[in-house]
Amino acid sequence: MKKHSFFLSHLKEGLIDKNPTLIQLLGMCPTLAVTTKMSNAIGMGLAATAVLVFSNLFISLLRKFIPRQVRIAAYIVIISGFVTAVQLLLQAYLPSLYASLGIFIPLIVVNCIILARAEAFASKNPPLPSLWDGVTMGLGFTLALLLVAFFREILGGATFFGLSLGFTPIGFFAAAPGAFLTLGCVIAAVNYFRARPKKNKKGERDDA
Amino acid sequence: MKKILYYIRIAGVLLLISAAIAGMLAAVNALTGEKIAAGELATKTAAIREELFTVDGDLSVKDVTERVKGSDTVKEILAVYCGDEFLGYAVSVTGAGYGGSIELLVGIAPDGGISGVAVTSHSETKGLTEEATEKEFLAGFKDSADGTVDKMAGATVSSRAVTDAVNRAVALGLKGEIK
Repeated sequence: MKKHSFFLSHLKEGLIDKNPTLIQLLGMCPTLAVTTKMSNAIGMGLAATAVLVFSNLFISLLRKFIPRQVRIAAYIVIISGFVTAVQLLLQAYLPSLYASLGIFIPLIVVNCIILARAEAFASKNPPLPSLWDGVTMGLGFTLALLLVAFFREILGGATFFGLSLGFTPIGFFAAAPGAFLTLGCVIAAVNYFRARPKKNKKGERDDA
Repeated sequence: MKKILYYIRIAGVLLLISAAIAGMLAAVNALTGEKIAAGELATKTAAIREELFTVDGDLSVKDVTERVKGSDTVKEILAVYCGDEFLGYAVSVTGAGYGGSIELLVGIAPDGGISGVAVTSHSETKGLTEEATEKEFLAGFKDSADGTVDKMAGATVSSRAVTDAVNRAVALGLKGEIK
């Protein structure tokens, strides 16, 4: 039973309570850069999730073997190895996504989320929970990307997943300043809704 | 003695991990290498077909960079064929634009004239210097009667970079088929 509730509660953490981008404020650079289109957001999110899962898994498997003093160097070697593998696979099998994401694929190596989870979780936990942590945090990142891209693509590109919506777009949202503004608003909204006092089952207010 | 062992252990672990990762990458590279090369060739051929030599039928290209004198000023020279018919050359050139490198394909017809210019990659500013990479400006190279094009106001560096790159392709003096 304990194991079962870990996986579910960790999923909720990754998606909402400890969302890597919206709550932990990690991985903001790629969030700002690739969220002009929702298809790019999903592509980047899944690519980063793939790297996160494999790097968490391998770092967890090797956690007793890597000396503390060189752990960052070891993590970087492992992470950049998997990023390069993902990059080659994308270039071969999904060339249009590879072209859209461009330089931000190799920049997954320095995506703070991956190093943060390696240090905070994978280096201290067994492989299966670490793998799941990679999945949940990666999905949380993807969700954050999608939220920002939803507004930026519709307002700034007047398209929805590439389908034209017919009105003239507001170019501001497609450009960098609009990215900052949209991300800021999304973070503010998520944190506001989380901070509101909740009513418990009896209908009484419970400041959690 | 203990200190030395400690350093050996640290170096050893990093060496082993690096070797394992390198092995994994070698495997992925072997798996994807051909597909990537084929994809790049297809993009190149598609650009050539669309911009430079619009013909029906499949294009094939042959790399003749080595066989042309003075080809170190350009990136690549491809002889373009449709079946057995020689269509001309596609010269891959790079120019220094305002926002970074601009990569171009210049089409040279069998008589030595320019059959078309296409931009394959650039980092120019949308709405401003990007104009120097747009089809309107590039068509000017093909259509020019006296061998000159108008400089673009507001995109001087970029249009000059494109022009310079096209000049380098033309300066190769390619004419007729290299057997």
